[in-house]
Amino acid sequence: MSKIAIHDHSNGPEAVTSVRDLTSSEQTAHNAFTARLSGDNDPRKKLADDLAKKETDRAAGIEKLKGLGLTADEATAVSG
Amino acid sequence: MATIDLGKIKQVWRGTYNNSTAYAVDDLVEYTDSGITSSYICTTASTGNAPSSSGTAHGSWAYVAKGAASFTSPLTTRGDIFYRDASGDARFPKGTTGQVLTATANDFAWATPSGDCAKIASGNAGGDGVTMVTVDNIFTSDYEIYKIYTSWREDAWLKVQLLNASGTTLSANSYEFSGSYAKRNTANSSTDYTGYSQFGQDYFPMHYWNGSDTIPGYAELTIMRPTDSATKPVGYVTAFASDDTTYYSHTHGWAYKVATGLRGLKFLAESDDFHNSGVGEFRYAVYGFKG
Repeated sequence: MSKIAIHDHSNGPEAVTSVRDLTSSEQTAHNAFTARLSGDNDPRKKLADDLAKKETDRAAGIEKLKGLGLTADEATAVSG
Repeated sequence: MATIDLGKIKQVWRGTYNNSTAYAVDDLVEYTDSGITSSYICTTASTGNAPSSSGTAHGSWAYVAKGAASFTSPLTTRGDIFYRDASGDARFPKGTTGQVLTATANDFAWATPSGDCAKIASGNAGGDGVTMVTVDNIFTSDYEIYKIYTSWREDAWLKVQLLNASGTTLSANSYEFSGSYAKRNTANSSTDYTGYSQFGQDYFPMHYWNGSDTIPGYAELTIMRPTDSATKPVGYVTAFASDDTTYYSHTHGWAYKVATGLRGLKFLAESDDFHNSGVGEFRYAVYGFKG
């Protein structure tokens, strides 16, 4: 069972701290929460995939521009 | 031949007073009255008359050296302060860390500093191998702007949920956030700038990208008027995170789409990744500012 630490600052900056196991419902909710944000569900994965695609498209565009007679530097500059 | 009685030609020490002894003028005794031991001289021959009672010498005796009450400290605990209350010497227990001593009408009291800026809270994970860290009772109407700082030595990203005025975790899918970041990848020396956003979530991030075991993810969260139940909670995060290859500097704003007052925060890891020290070390600090 996972644990939760609770820092109670009712009496000021120094906390009164307690640590306990998650209840079964808390554990179930947290497992679902983690599953929604991990692996293929990780919301950052789309950002990474989009960036990778952008880089792939950019490289392909440079090659096409070079095929049209631009130098590599010119093609890179045009591709942004 | 006539005899002249000169009396004692010197004082005579008779030791501790004895109620059955006949004392003569110039006899000296020791006697303890009401817990105070003094020495007395007999001024009139006397038997059965204690040298003093309740601090007042008997007519047959006079004080030679009057004792004083022995001191009994009222202090019992490290940090106690010795002072006088309405009735006499008293103990004033030490306050909690960060409190200051303030004068009251008659005495004084411990109080949390209440300047324009005050440290509200600080701490660590609270245990080793913890999955959630709740920092409760940090928001009051005493301050209008709150700054929350976190540091986490873990190859993971840090999520937050809000605690309402009753201490209940707000886990409905009512969180929204959007931001932008600069990403520097040391492997290919590229830098990217782009944005990110999520809606209908049950959290908002502190640092959206993973820190590492050796480079903590750092974040600063700003919340204004968190106790205002008439408005929807909003905040702003600036953060830095790196896995030691890719460096992310990012900022995002977030909102909770239901008007509610807040009193605390809950930080969430994906598993038991919060620790007090070493890998996974988590630390937080909260400051309040008056408007």
